[in-house]
Amino acid sequence: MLFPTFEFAAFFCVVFVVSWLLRPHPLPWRLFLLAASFVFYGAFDPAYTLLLGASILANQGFAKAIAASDDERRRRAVLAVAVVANLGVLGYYKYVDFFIDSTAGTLALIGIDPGWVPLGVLLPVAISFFTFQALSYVIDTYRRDTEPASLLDFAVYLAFFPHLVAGPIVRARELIPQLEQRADPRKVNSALAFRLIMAGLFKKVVISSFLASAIVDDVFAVPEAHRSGEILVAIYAYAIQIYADFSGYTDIAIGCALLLGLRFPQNFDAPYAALSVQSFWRKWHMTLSFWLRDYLYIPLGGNQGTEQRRDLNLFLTMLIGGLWHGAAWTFVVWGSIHGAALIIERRVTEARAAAGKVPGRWSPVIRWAITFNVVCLAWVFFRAESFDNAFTLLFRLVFAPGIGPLVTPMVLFVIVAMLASQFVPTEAVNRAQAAFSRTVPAVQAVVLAGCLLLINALGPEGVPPFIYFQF
Amino acid sequence: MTDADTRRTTGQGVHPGPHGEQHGTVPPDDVPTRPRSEPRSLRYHDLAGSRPQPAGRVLAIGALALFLAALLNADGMAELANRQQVGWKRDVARVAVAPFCAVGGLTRIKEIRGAIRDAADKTTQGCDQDPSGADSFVAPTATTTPAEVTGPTEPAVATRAPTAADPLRTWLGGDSMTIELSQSTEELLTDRPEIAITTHPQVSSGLTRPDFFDWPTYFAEDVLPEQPEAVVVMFGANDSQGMEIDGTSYQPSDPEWQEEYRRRVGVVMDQLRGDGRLVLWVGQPHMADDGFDERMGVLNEIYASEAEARPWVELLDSREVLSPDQDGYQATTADGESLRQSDGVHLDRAGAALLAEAVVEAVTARVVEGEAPG
Repeated sequence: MLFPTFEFAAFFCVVFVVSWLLRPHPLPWRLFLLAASFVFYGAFDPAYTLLLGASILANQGFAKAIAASDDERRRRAVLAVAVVANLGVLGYYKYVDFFIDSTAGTLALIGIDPGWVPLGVLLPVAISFFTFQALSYVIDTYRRDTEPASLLDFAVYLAFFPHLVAGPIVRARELIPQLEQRADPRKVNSALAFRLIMAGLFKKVVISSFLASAIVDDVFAVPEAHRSGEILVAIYAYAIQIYADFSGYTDIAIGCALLLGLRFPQNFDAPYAALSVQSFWRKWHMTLSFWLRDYLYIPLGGNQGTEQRRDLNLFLTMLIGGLWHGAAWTFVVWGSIHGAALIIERRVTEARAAAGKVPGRWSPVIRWAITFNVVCLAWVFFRAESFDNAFTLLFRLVFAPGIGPLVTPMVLFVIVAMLASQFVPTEAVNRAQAAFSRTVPAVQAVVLAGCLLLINALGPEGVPPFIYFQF
Repeated sequence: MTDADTRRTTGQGVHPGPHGEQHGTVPPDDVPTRPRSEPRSLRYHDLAGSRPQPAGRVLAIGALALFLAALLNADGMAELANRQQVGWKRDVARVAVAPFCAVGGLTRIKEIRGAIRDAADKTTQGCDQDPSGADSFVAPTATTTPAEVTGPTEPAVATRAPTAADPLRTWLGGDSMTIELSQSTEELLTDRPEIAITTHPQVSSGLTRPDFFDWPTYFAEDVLPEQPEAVVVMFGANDSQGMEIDGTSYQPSDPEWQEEYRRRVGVVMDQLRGDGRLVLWVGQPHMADDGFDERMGVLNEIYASEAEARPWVELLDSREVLSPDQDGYQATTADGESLRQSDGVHLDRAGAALLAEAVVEAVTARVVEGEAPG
């Protein structure tokens, strides 16, 4: 069940009403949320619910076993089993074919034919997200940052439908305490929820779909047929497309949860306004960035040790983060570009600070331009189907001068408008949201209906599948 | 607004509730905003001056908004309903949408959407659309009968040697199976300037649902006026679904369905016929799902027999091309290159490249080299 569909709208209306009616009764309310989440997930494929159920039972078992023991070796052993089990399942579904393909290809280079063919394993929707959440729960328990919850609370936390499919990656200590509090049904933060849902729908259904069909899909499919102007605009358009698509989806997720009285962490914070790659990662898919920091970068050693060791930790974190996004070498390159950029950026910043250099007047503009273009360069590898495809695109970007018919005023307007939106001050948005919240209900309804009209009228005939599902 | 509301809004005199109510408004400075242990990541949800509302009111606002949006978007909902597969679900959806169409039309409120779509250069069908669309498949008039076009002695397909200055005008299109095929063919032809290609893959389209996308009209208005010398089409993957014939629904296993589908295939083959033009009809490849594969096999038989009766039509058997090493569905080549996408239906890059080669080869053999159909 996808968010921008009538099926989900009907499903959510029922969940909204029943959830608030049951809210005074903790046990039925939790059971209802769990059942609703399984119905939502089962709508993709009923078999997936078995995997989710198994993940819930196994990880609750791991967390309980860790919490019940004071023996450090035993705790560590259980943690190791938990990590291996979670990553093993994720690895099987996500990387087994990539491994077979890459190994067979490498062996073929030295004249050995192992006769391996990919198994054609289908990646279950959402597995990456719930595996990361389950791991954070078990590791936090091991670190004594959190106590194991009841099985029911943990199940609701892991399966809760708004975040299940594409995040944000919510930590147990963020959501489980909220299950134990009783949200006041008289005080729903509906203005923020409505804003997030409408903005999310607009970004996902209108902006992302428009840019994909107007320029991005064509140029990335056959770069040989396009000139540098089209290629440059297509790269910028893809940067906007993936932002609109992904942030749009998580905005809807956060808004839906908020309507049910539950708060998720922020996942995007105007990432294309960032003045450094480091800042970009604090604003882009924030819950994944913080997850990688807490459960990968810090265990690797973080900022400790020599400069070389610190750089290596950073690079490995981004490399693995890249591979998490997809089982292909292009994603490894994407992660590597970000890793290298972060290292260079840190070294340059430290060197300039040591030399006592003061940022000039145009420094923010230059830093913004460099950051945005580095991020866009990395997106080329993220989007491209292969290295050949990416290199052809970059080659023609430089050596095929010309503009091309796909560069239209509307495409340019959408890119510029979306970039400009990143610089709108939060206070201005909050003021508009506050003004909306103070109008009478009928006016609020009319405004929302107007938003839905625009989204439906400007949207495509069908909503394409969400880019991030398979990640 | 009541006094209590005012106090809640300004945060004066209302303290956070006993259950750690997080959505309370800005409290006085001496009251902590939230429990100390609350993660910083959740501060995003500060009300920031917005007024919270009771869940009941939120429901009422949401319900009213959805109702108004349904009236405003009546055309869009009707399009969505009509696009469902023929059967009871579509019937229910159409009945559910009808009142919104009626009220939206009566009050003219739905015209706002039409105006927005006009401004955005998008078409609107919606409530006034004929849901069957069967009338699109009308046999060409007598003026285009085979005998008059080519005469009894001329070959059905004209041959010539195209050049970069005067390239062979080729058109390729069909359903979503032609997305990758179009791209691979364009890629293949980048260094073959003597063949000019225009493509139009139309997702979810086919010959059973002209109400969704009307291929005969599209051919008549957008393809044939350009006078292509070779037309390559691929239909079928979306066609194994219910079809409405004279108001009655039929399923692909019904003889009436197959008879009507055969008629439509014939109409399109005749419509595409031109002065020496080659029509290359690409059959369906093997599918991963056995049942689906079997249904595609039935369609392939229809394409083959209809093509055989028309000398200007050549059938390209994609099963041979896309299953080079086995009799049945083949996901990858012997070298492990992916022929098909993970859905077991669509073409992947290597598969599309193979089929593109076969398409270009067939067109070249017939039109340029004048070989008899193999």
